[in-house]
Amino acid sequence: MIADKVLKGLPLDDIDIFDVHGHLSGEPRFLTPDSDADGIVKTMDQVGVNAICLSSMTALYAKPEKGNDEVIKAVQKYPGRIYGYVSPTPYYEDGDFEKYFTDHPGILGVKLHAECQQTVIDDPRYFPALEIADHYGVPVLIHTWSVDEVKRIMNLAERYKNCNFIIAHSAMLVYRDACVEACKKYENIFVDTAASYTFEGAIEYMVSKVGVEKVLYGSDLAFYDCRHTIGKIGLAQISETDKIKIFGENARRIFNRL
Amino acid sequence: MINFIDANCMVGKRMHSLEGVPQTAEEMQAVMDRSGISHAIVYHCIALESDIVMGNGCLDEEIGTSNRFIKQWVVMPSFFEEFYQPAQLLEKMKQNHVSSVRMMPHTHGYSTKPYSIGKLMDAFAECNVPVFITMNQLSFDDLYALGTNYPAVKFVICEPGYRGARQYAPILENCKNIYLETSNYCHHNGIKDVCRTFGAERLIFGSGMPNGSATAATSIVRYSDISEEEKMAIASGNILKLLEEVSL
Repeated sequence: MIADKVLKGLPLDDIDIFDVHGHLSGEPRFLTPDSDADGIVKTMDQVGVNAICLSSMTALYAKPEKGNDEVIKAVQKYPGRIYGYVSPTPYYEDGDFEKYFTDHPGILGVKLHAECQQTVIDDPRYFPALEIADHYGVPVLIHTWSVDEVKRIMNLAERYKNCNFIIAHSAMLVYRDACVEACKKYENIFVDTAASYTFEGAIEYMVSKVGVEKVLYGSDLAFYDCRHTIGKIGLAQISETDKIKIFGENARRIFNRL
Repeated sequence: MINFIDANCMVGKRMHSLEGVPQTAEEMQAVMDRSGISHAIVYHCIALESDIVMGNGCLDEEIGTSNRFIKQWVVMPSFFEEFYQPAQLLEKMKQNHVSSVRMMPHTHGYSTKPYSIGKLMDAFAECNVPVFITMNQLSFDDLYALGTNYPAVKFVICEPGYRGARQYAPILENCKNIYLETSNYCHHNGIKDVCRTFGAERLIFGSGMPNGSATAATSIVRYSDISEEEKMAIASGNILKLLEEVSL
């Protein structure tokens, strides 16, 4: 049983755990220790996480090309353990965003973080990258922190029907009901479990409202410690089957390049 | 298996109850059972949201006869007879088996400078009563001032957040009387770093229920890259030591 192992602090190495929400490299505003590929994989081993799909903080905050290259290097260093999201910028044209999908099989999707790029999620300047994502049918993970942002993700889900959109940090109180509405309305909208500080019962709430198939395990490692989210799901009052779906099965289903 | 004592818990139904969130003592006990938490230090939500005396008084009714809850009172300095004077407070705490206190200076609108809470702190220092404060009630400079102005008082800083490691490090280094509660001190390897740099004795387990998750909070300690002895100290040993030192 998963809960028995969590209560003993043992690695969950007999189930498939796929983390859909990770980050490489440091955050300027505060300390993020061991946020390189080696540090991330070491923690994954301790907890029993098979694989993680991550984006680069450098790509989100400063220089997408440099950050995306950093992701590619991490993917190459840990094949099958680390997969990547690439991130566009709204401020200038990336010469060849498509190359990430034609040349690098370990790049699985696109990450958008409009807040730290000081714009909005459905900024048309993201459209060229999203059209490429739609063409390849890859998932798009979107940092979310408000009801308004969830509504903007619905706009994108309407426009790019071939993409699966993942609302990050879905259990935060202020917009959890908006996430429920979005998941119910759009087949191509999913939620992840990453959240810095959520109430007890957040997983049970999401599963009961949107159905377990829509809930994906995301931790925010190494921005945040994945040990936190492991317990939230591992000790949740849901069935063993549902835990296995959230931890990995659902992600394996919607990440089409795996 | 590691046993946990939860040092940061608020009980009582709030006006804006949220579906699925444990709030009553009974609901919290169910979560404690699932998470491996034997006991919890609790204060009442009315003491946060409305009236301190009324809230403290509601604790007995809320927790009933359960021996799994350790009562904590919310306190404040009193200049207009709205709350007890320090000596009277200590006596009341003794009578009611209350072994720790919580201050909410921002919510309740008072300063933590000596001119405001000095007498209260003298009383707590004399009886080794630990003082809990949630970090959203303080600035980092306020926290440093607390640690240095009242060196004989033990402060447990609740919900320190995952973004403050650079701010807490010099405070932990300079103020040996400050402890961090772990519920959301959860940046990557944060617990391990504190153990290595300042010692596991500076960390005290808490869940932050109902706003925080006990299943998540216990998990981060269980899986941390530290020794079993350090985990046990954080989970229960450190808070038990603080409570054993109380002499009301």
